[in-house]
Amino acid sequence: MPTEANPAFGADDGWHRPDRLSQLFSATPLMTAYVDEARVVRMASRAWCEWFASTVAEAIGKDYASTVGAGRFERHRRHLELAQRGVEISFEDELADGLGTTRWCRVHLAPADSAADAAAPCGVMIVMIEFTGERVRSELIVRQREQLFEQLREQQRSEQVQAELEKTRTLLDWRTTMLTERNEMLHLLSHEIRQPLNNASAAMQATMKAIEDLHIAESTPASSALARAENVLGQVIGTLDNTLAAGTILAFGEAALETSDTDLPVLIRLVLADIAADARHRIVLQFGTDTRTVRLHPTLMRLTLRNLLNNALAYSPGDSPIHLKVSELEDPLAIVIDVVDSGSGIPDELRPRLFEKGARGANSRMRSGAGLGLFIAHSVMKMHRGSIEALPNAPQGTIVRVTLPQGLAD
Amino acid sequence: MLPRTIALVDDDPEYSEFLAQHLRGRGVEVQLYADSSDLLAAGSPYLYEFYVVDLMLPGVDGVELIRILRKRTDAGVLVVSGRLGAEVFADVVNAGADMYLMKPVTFEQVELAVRAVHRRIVTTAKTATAWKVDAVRSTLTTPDGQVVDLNATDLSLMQCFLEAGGAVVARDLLSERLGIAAAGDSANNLHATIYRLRRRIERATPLAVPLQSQQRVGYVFKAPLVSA
Repeated sequence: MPTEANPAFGADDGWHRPDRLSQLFSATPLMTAYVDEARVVRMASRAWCEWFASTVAEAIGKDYASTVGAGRFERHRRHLELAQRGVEISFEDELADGLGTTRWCRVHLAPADSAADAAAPCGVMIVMIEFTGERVRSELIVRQREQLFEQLREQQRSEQVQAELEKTRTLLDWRTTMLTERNEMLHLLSHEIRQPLNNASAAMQATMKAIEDLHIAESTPASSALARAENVLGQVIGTLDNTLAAGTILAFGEAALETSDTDLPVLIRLVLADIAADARHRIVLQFGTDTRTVRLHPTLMRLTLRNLLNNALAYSPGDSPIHLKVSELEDPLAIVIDVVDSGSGIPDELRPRLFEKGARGANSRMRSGAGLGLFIAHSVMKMHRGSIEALPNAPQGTIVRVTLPQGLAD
Repeated sequence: MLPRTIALVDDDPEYSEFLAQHLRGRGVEVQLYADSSDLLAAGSPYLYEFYVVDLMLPGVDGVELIRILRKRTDAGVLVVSGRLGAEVFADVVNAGADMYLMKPVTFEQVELAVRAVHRRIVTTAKTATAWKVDAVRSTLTTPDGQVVDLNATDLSLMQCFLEAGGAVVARDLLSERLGIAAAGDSANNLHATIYRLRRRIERATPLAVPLQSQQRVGYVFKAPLVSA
């Protein structure tokens, strides 16, 4: 501190006595302080002292480091050293209060003694300006910008989702159209194709009857040719029936199944009439029960039994009998129908997928068929809450057993 | 047993012509109708002994035609149709058809179905001899003179049908009277009880048993039934 009179202070040097200066300094509302070359606080405003939770009386004459605290001093040290070497510098510092909020201030350090020897440290004037408000506002703005961006991104995402949905909807519409077209085609097949086939079959029956009525011995080749043609027609019709059943009735599942009281012997006679006339004689009917009225879906059961019989006929020797056995179970109440052949049995590799769509035996004598027969039988039995199983028939052949539960609620 | 007269309602001329020819060859008088309205507008549309009906018809739809016929006649109704779909069968049965045959069918199959349905109707609804319930002996006597023993539940059941006088008895009412479950998987539910009784009767007589179920409604005894 200069001790001799400074002409700038004027003649009355009473007002700039160190204690007066210190008093004036401390009264300023600014946060300001002066540290000397040895980093001793020489002057400090109350506001400055309060920032560091100290008082003017405590701070004056004390080491800067002990006033601001050791940790804080470490952050200040580099800046302070630069300022003491004559560099004007400012930096930001923060202060956490006990309540978890943070205050920020900008610290300006100005070398106080420009005349000092550049090699020797000088005193430093400190002014601190708080900018917590500014900082909070800018953080708020940053947050708001982020929120806005997030909303924007969200909107873009939902637009993408919307576009995806639109695509899915288009696909679904397309699928519905395809399904409708498919159903229309099935109906076309069911009516426009089967009906004429039916008529052709009718015409052949009438012709055969007419030829028969003529009682001409030479007509036998013509009759047998007609009979063969009718068999082929029968196979085509059977395949069509299975395809249509797989595509329509079965697609509706169990919920759609309506059963009715059906006369089982009549149903079986109807089924036998579905079998090719030249193979019908191989089927041996064995009724093991007097029960006649059975609850089932007659159209689907007719198709099922026809499939089972045609399978048995196709996969066993051409002259071997096929037994169709009807029996019943008491507990639980059920009708059991066995189709028994003496063929070569079901190959092991076919067993696991026997009731799946497209399963066909390699040794089939019947070249037509799409492997739908047992699939349909299985589906139909499921719809009846019944079962179908393929059992070995000793010494050779297969028993296909369907079990139709009775006495169930509808 | 074939009916004496059949109305064949089908708009496919070839099929109808061939089928009519076949049935006429069996001695049946067959009248063809390509349009259901033609049948309904005919002089006596309800006097046929039997009806063979297609479902897809010009004029009144086949299912509707069956419903109309059922209001006026107890004659057999056989549906022979190529129409597919899960709902078709239920519609037809609910409308009152006796049997549903899916096309394609041979004439033998149609004849077989007509015979079966007609025989059932003649031996049940149109039989002159009544079935007799004897509450004292707890028996049911069939029109052909066979005696079927009834247990207590069977007897209550037959008494319900006696009281109903040929009308349908709701299954809730039946189960209440019999004190058994209307549905459920219990072996003693109403359906199982009826199944067993009908089976017992079928073992005793070759006649068709007129104990028929009405889908989701109840049961009906469709033949003359008296108390002995």
